[in-house]
Amino acid sequence: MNGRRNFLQLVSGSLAAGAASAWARRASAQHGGHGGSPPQPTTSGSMAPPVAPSGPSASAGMPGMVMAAPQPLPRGAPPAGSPLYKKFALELKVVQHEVVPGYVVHMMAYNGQIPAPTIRVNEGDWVWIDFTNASDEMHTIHWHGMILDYRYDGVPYLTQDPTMRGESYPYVFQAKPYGTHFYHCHFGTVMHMQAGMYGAFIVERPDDPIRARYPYTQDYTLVLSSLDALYVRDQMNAMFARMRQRDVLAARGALDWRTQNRFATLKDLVRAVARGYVPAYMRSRTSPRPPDPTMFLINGRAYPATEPIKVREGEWTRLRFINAGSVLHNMHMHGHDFFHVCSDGAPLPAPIRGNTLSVAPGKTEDIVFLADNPGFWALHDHDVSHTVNNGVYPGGVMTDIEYEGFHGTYTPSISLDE
Amino acid sequence: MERIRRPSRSTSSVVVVAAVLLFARGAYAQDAEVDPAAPQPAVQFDYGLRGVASLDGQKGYGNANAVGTVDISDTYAYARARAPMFAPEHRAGAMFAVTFPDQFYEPGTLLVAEANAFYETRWLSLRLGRGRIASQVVPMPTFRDDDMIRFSGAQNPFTDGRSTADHQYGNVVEAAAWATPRLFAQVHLENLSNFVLQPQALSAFTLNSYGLMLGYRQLPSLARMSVVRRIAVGVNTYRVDLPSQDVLVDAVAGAWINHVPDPVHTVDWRVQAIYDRGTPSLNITTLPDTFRAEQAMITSSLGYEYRREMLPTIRTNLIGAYKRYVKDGIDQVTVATNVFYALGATTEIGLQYQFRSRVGIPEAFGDDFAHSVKIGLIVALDGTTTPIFAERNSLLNVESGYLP
Repeated sequence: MNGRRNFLQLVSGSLAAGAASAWARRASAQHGGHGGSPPQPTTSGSMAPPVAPSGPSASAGMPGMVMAAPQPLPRGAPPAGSPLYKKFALELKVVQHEVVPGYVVHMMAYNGQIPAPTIRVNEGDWVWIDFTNASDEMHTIHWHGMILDYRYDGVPYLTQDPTMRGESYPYVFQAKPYGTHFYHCHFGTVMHMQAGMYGAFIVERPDDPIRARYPYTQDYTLVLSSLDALYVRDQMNAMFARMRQRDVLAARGALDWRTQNRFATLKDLVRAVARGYVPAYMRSRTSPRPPDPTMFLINGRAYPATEPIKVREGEWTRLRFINAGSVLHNMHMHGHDFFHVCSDGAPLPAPIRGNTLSVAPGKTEDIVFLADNPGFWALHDHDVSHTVNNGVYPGGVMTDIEYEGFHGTYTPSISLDE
Repeated sequence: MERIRRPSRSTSSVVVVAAVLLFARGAYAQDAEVDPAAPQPAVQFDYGLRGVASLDGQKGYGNANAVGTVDISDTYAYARARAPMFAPEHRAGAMFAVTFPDQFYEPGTLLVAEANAFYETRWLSLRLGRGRIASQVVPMPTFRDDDMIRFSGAQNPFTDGRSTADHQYGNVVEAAAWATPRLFAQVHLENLSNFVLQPQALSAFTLNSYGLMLGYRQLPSLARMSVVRRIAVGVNTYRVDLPSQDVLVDAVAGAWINHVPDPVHTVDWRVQAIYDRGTPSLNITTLPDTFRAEQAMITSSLGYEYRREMLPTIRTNLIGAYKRYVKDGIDQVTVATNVFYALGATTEIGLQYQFRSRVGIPEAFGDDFAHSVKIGLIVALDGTTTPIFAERNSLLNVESGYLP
């Protein structure tokens, strides 16, 4: 028994020491308002990413601790500082975001944008992304779909320590494979992904196999998500409070496994529970309240604030669906058939023709369609429970396809409560 | 100890309020035409039950016998409903609460502690109806709220004095303005229970008291980790219309400080001083006189709380209070110590010992004791249906911009 206790104390002590050093790194940071704007759709002709590649001097510049990249760098990576890197800077802060006119919520935005800026690189590019945390919570960034060195995969406590307020953490990897991918926070994921911490990561290829078959001229990314704003608000408040508590404990050198709820191994947790430790998921510590989304978003907005898809008659358009939320979206296009061409970024062996496509949480699905039927056409989730704003139809995951220069005999308008 | 049978004014107040509510509801039900095209906005219901049950032992002075009782006073049930208004950041609601008053009420009596309507914006709040009065600025960590209330709260000069509830609740008009999420000014007018000077029904609303309070209150989520939790001062005026004096005035000042601001081990100190100018010429001959005589009092506590895993675990307090009736030169002292052990996040088992001197106070006042011991359970159960509203003092709203 003593041996077990000593082992636990030893592990806990080492964790506490590590944790304390991590907390001691914290530097003060400031909050700011929502200064960003939704990302604009980009055409395939433009390879410039919405986040402009930047040199070292252009990184976020928070007054906090800049963490060195885990060493050694990934196999085959250029040396740090090499001009061969495509460099990006992402800074996270709390913002007030208007989901739909009048409905404003606190969210967490990379570079002030929800969703985060779309990053476009070529397959094989070496990418260096400096992430700076200017929020009062801990975060990581997971590069969803990238094949990379595990140390840059962004899973807290599995591949790295979370990035704390005022700290920066570099993510270094080679962009592969080709296709539509995304990135998102992997710390407190249930809350943080709802809170807006997601963005598209597009890996292109000069010999784009999709364009080779369907010469699309328009390329839109639609990041789908779901939001329980009350859950996010309450969880953010709770996380902020916990961080403050741990700040105080860290300053006193009193942060330990109990106050961090952190264990080296499952065996340690089992032993702690046997000794009376009460995990946070026990009924005696929490009242179950799973998130119950009532708002459903395309690129951070709900209908009627969603952006229309503008197409040109006779030309092909590519739509990249990314489901960064927690519910299934069955995307239905009116007036056209489309071809389902990619799943999880990978081109399908044979495109599938249809008008409705399921986009599961965590999946990316690409479609192309020929704009051959001028008019105004709805594009929406056909699980109509997701086409509401707080239960009021129409809303949610709904937008329309508009032909440039088209003037019909019926002009669309906006209805808020049918 | 003499048990006083009082007119069942609390019972009648319950009846009055219930009747008003029933009639109001009836009128509404008869007159309202429900419009199905205009659905109700979301309503947030907060509700709860605080069960306080103890086995008490008391021993009086001299040859007085020890008395053992089971006490459920301070047990409290509440329901509060709030809904958003059309104007952003505005909300309105109503609250209703009942409590088991202290032992001097008839057994089984329920007291309406709260029955009010309120309106709130980001910086202002208004409350109208029956509710808790602004008689203290710092709560003392006693087993029950009223264990030291004759030392730790401004006294209601109108009451006949048998029940501590008269010092805690009244009919109020209260407006508070928040200069920042932590700084507030509150103006309040009350109709305090008046049974001695001008007997009247509880439902009547003759304003006989008014006052002002200025204060600083730390955000709840930072309270244990900040040096200053609360500081406040207040002044109260009572229109007593006595032959010798029209008004009585008292002043209250208090602070709640953390000696060790820490989320796991917290050491805190509370102090509150009250000076009641009272009626300078009044000699104390009856219990109600003690609420109107010139007096000065101070109450202070030193507490330690341990929160293993940052959850309620154990807390202990040492509390002392001193009061002097200036004209009669009577000094009173009480000292209490208690310890509470958390059986769960909602439930504590508590033990308290209290000593009280009553030098110079006639025995007929009834509720004096020398030694008191309480052991019992305190169960605080709170719930919310759908948490629609953010609070003005939440960390998110304070540090990242306010959203209602």
